Amino acid sequence: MLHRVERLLLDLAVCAVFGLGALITVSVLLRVTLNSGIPDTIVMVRELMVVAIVLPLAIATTQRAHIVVEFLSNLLPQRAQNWLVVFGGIFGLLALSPLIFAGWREVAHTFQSGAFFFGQLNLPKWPGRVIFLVGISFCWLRLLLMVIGDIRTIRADGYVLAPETAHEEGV
Amino acid sequence: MDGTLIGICAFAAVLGLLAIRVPIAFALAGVATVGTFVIFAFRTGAFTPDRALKPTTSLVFSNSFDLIHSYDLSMIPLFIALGHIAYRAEITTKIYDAARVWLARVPGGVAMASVVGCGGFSAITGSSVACASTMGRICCPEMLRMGYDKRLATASVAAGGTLGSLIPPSVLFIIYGIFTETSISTLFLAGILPGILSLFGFLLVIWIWVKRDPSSAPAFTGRITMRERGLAALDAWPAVSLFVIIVGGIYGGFFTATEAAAICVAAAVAIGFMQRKLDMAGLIASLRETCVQTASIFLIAAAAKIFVAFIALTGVAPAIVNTVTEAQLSPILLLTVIAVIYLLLGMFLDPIGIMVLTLPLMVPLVETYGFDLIWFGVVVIKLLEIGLITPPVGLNVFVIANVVGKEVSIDKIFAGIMRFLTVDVIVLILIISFPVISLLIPNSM
Repeated sequence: MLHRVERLLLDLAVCAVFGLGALITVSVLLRVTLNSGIPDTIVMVRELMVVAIVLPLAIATTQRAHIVVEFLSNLLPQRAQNWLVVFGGIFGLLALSPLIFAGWREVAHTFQSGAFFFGQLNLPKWPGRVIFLVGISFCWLRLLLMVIGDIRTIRADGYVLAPETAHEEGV
Repeated sequence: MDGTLIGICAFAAVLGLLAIRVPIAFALAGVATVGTFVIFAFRTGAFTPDRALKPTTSLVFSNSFDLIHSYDLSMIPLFIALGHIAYRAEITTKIYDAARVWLARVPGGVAMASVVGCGGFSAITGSSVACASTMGRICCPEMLRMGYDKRLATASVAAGGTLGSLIPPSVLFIIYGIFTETSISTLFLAGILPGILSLFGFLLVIWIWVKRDPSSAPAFTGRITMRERGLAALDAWPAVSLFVIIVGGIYGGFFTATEAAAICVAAAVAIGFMQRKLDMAGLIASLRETCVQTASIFLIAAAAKIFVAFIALTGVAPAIVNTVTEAQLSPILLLTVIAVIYLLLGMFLDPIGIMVLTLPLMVPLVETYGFDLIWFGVVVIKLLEIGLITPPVGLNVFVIANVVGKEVSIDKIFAGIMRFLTVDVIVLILIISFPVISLLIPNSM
């Protein structure tokens, strides 16, 4: 079930990237050709950015795509490395919790105040905040399930990381 | 509690957590949140946690959300999407194909074509590791099959891959721009000449290598007609056009870097569909890969933003600036110390991690010394590039090692890399000694 939801969130993010790219392109073309533009493009792109960035976090977690430094931990035995992965997950749960709490407070405040962006369309502020909360919450939930799954795997003498995996990533 | 002490402890804690494999984003966010809470809780002298909750959550939310909720930073997903789409549409590899045909008769021509191909790939994707990974899969097996020296075949692509950080668009420049509040467009322009200088430096290494040891690169015995050369050059037009749109558009003031990214994505999609190299499934797959990659980059950036805000609260940066100023370090000595720190960190940490950890401290320091932040950005990125191929954890070397498998050992790749590293250090010294190399194009706008 969660996999399906994550897939849906990823596809929404894909639509958001497509949408923000299209919005900016059309704005530039309108500016160049008709000296005109789409109202509140900047606000809409900013809101789409939240969708594009936060919603895929859960699936990025499933793919263990979060960037880690493996140099020192790779010197340890495989079993110790596996427990470090679990520790990283637990630390992640603790690190994300304040963000969820802060996001919840912000969503509640934005709903209560009925805040909106000043502009031609006066777009409401709540959608971006709600999406942020949803994205981080699903990431947290996925992380929790992975930590539980990893602990079970290790206790059953399995490997969380396949031996000889080196998947350090960077840009 | 002393803020400076909390700041220093926080840095130590982050480094400790990174060493035990905690993801960079979680380490930064976790330590920054706890540190901020402690600072606010001790603000009145006594420990008052109830007073710390609200300001801590506000700081955590506003810094992370505001970073993501940004128009300018939409260029990151767009440039990453451009790389994926251009790769699927076979735009990125055409530069290599053209260079291979044109340089076929030059000694070490395929190795040189690999480096030129990496330069072309970088000019579209902006990612060093992606560049090394993609070009490695194409160039290394071909060179090994042709009987190239294994060290030359692998090291040339690992080194060429680092060009992705300097030649615009570069994700590292974008992140540097966010944390130093400098113009990303200007940074892009500043990276062009140092990038080209590095590229020519790598070509020179290959040329000298093959001149001194002709057996390291078998001579090309076939025949290539002018028509074939012309067709190969013509095939590379989409890649050249995209680079011209990015650099020409920004330099000419026609549009911003963000707009250039969007226009290029639209152009790459149009070219891909017109040439029938891209279909809807390919486009969606590219965008899915983009989203996952962007999410993990932004999670780090958002966490780093919280960490930067926390570091500002601690006052550790001014304390370090004062200490360095009192020590009356000369600018050259300061730059040497900074370079050594980056090179050492580059041996163990990934480039984004290094930047987000060091910039909160380095930027106030270099500003005090009156250094140009654009020029300093180029120096930092060049240092990070060097870190990507420096033993023991040269990330690009490991990427190439994964690509070639057991055919070439890591030691052999590192042995080949040393010659390219020498040139990299010379280019770095040139960039530091002659800031005009970085600032010529931005200043001519």
